[in-house]
Amino acid sequence: MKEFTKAAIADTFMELLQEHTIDHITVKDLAEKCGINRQTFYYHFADIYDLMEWTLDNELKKFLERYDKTDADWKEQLQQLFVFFRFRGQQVLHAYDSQNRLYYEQFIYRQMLPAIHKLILTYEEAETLAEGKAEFIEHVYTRMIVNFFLDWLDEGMPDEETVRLSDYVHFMEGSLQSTLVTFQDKNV
Amino acid sequence: MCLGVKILDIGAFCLFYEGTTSVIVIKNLRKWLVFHMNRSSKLVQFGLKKAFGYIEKDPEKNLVKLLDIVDQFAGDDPNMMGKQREAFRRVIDDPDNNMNQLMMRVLKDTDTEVVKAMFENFFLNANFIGWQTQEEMRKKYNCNIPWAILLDPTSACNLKCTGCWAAEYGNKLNLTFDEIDSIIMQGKELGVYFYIYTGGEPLVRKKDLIALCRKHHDCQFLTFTNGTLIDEEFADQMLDVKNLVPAISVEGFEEATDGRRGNGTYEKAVRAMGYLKERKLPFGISCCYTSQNLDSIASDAFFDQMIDWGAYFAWYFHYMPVGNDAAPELLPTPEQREYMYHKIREVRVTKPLFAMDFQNDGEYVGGCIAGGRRYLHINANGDCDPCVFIHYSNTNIRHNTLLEVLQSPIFMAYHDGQPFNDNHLRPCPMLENPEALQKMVEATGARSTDLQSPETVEHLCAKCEDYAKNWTPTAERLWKDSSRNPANQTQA
Repeated sequence: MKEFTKAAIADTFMELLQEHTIDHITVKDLAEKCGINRQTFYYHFADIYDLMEWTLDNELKKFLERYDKTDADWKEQLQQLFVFFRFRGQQVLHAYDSQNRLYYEQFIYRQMLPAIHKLILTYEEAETLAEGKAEFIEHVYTRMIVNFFLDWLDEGMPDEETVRLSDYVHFMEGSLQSTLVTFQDKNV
Repeated sequence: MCLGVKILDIGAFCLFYEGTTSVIVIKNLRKWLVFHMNRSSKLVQFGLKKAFGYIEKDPEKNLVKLLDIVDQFAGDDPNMMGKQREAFRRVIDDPDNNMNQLMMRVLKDTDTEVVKAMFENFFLNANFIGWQTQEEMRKKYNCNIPWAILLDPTSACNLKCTGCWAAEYGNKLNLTFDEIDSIIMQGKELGVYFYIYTGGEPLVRKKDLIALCRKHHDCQFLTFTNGTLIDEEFADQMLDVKNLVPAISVEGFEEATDGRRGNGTYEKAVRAMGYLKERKLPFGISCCYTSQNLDSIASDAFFDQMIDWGAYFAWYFHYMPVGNDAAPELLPTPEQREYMYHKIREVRVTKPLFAMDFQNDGEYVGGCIAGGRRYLHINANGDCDPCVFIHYSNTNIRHNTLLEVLQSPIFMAYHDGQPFNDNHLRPCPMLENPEALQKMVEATGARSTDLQSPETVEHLCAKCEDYAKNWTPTAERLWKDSSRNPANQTQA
């Protein structure tokens, strides 16, 4: 019941985001459109930004459920995240502003970190890394992906050719092995 | 320095120690915080959370380290509260110290996220950031600006206790969600970040209270409750919002509690404490002491029982003969009150429990704190009373702004009259100085806000005259020896 109400509020929010930017969406408007009172909204969410965070998480969950992602490699996961944002272009651009940039950063980081972690483990050099360096390398490469997405959002989500997502893929594939070698236990 | 830091912090940063308040409050730290909070609060919060995470990992070791850092930073600057830091260090250096044990209980047995929320909302917002705003507003408007607001979400209660003054309000009055929301929004403008629910049984409105906690996640909420409506689902929600602390009312052990509150009440309240403890949620106990129950409710066995339940704090309330049906014979005798005075002070230096007795602790806060000086009370009809026990008012929050309330005649009479007695062991304008309340009510034309049975101020104050007379000699003797008496305070 609780999740059902939350989902209904999130659906209404996504509808409103088609037309309005997040700073122009009020709890009052949302509650009216959704047919609930204000206290019901606040029973579930602290404010519109809290709702945005939950909605984004929930949308992604629904989106990923449609894929069999058990054996998706990091490139496919990157592509999926790209498509996820792309499909919701107008809404995401309306929901993204300076107030919640930090959340988008964390959101993308959270999605990509496990994939990068898995990628690193496929290299045999990963087994002989100096202590703590695996986490460090994961972190730096994940931040790079985060940076790609934030730049892309800042530029208004232009198409794939323009932003050269493939350059990031090449950069990573081309440099990862030598990075791992650099941080071998015997080298540092 | 503020009342909040002085008397109520149940976190790690404030404690009573040998009857004096020992607090780490560094004036410059406050300025720094305010400055940075205004600029980039998210970043500062992030930094504070990190520092806090550091303490939490190994409280015994890291608290000492942190204090070392503060000492280095503070040096010999006389403004940096060297004495308080010294007292604080004595506590954290001594694992057998009861306040050390309490602090470790709070840091180790409480959900991490809840401690962080308390730290931010109660310690930072209500006491550092909020206090600054309150001080500005006090100067700007020349009236009292409170540190906490007490309000009754409803007059309804699921119990029918004998002699309950809340029950006399009748049970169909409610402040709406929007009204409470508006009070909190206005409060925050004035720097108030601490809200306390009274009643009625506040948890009759538990869904709305959760919504308010979520909406105002920068505020600390506390609710008095009989505990019977705290089920597992509600405990989960409290854990989810993190900023609601219950103070569960009991009358002592099972017989006394059920005797007044009805059979099975005690068991339900204790079950609620179990749910809270399971989730590592902080809570306290609230007790009203009377001539009848004082022996049992202030016994070592009962203090130990509260600690065993998992309570962090125990608030004692002196019985008040308010209402036409009040029973003045329940007023404690001077001997009983003196016993409480010493007992609470003893508990504060021997037991890992933060015990307070509002009537006898007036000496730590300069006497009466009502009338908006540190708090006010808004009932379920919207009437704005100067005190939770004093139901006379000129204003209603449905027609007046919070600021208008604070500038209304009876609130200004409090402002101008405080302290009502130079002896802070006789703080109240009703109980120990009944003539003061009578004068204020008459001069301001405040009307009784008791909805069930309006009581004249003469009738109310007449019940306190003998009590006040009888208490005076004891109060004079205790005050003469009190370390809080300005006459006993030598210049350092």
